[in-house]
Amino acid sequence: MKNHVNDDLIVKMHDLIRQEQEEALQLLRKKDFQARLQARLLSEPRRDRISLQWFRKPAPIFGILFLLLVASIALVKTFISFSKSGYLAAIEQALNNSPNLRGITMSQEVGAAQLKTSEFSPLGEEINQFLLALISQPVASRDETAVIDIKISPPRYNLNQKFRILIIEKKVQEFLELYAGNKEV
Amino acid sequence: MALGLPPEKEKVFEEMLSWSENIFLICLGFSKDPQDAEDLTQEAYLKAYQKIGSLRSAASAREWLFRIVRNTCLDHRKKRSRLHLFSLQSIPDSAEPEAPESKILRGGQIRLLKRAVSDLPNKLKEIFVLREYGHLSYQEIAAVLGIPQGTVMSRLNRARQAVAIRLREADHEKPCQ
Repeated sequence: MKNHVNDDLIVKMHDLIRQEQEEALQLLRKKDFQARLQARLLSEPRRDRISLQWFRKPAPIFGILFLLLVASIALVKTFISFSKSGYLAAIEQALNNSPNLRGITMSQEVGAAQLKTSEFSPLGEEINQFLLALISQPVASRDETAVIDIKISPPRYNLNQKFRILIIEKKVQEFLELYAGNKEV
Repeated sequence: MALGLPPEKEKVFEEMLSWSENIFLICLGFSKDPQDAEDLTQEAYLKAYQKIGSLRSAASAREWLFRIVRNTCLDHRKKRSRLHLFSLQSIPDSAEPEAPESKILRGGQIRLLKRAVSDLPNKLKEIFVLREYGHLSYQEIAAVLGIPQGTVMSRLNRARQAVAIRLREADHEKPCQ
């Protein structure tokens, strides 16, 4: 039978394999393979140190993610409240420093001077720029609605009312003089 | 030797290092070149070192490592075949020009053996190499390749016969040359 292989041939094959192995092993041992292998292993960074060890422990990962989420929410909230309070404070300051709207038409120059000399935040500055522009604008060129808002005409009294006001003022003046005199004594 | 591994893994890896000659011989069986075999052995150990975290049990360390070795060698062969470098001509001639006649003859026979093993189909070759070069048991080969032991035995028998026939044919051709 053509494909029949006798034991002698198998023995010969094993003998050749053994010889091949011995030759290769001799070369390997001459090169001090073990030492070189260990040196190479020590010089190579282990890639799974971070990735595998961390991804096998879900608890620390979720803990870190949770903390990051809480921190980011707190940060956003703080930013929003700060920006809100910042704007509110700026508007408040601007309104406090701005002239009384009722007095704008009565004393435009005084109001303008007051606005110019005051110190404002950026937002307050913008509001005051607007108010200054409003004050310095000629009455004729203003929009009707703006005039209505700003210009307040002096009250008109009849003779009887004027007389009463004068009496009251006189009484107040007398009282103040008397009070001042008593205080000096 | 401190490799920077956890103590239990360090112990397992040290045991793995004691199998380095077996692994080298398996790589030799696949590559048929001592220098390539040495490089492949280093590469396989490097992979094992980097993936040691995925080794579940020390009891399966041997099979785990030999699986890495086998895959490394197969990958290497694929790369070589893509580059057309892993051809029969690339098998080095181990016979030295100045060697005596008997040594030249033996070198020639070893070269024939290398060609016969290289020409085996992959399924037969990996079993032949793991058994004849790596000296793994049938059980270990079955575990490494994930096939039944009976399949291992039958494939090994076929592989041995194929290699032996090639050797016999070469012997018969000699007088004609």
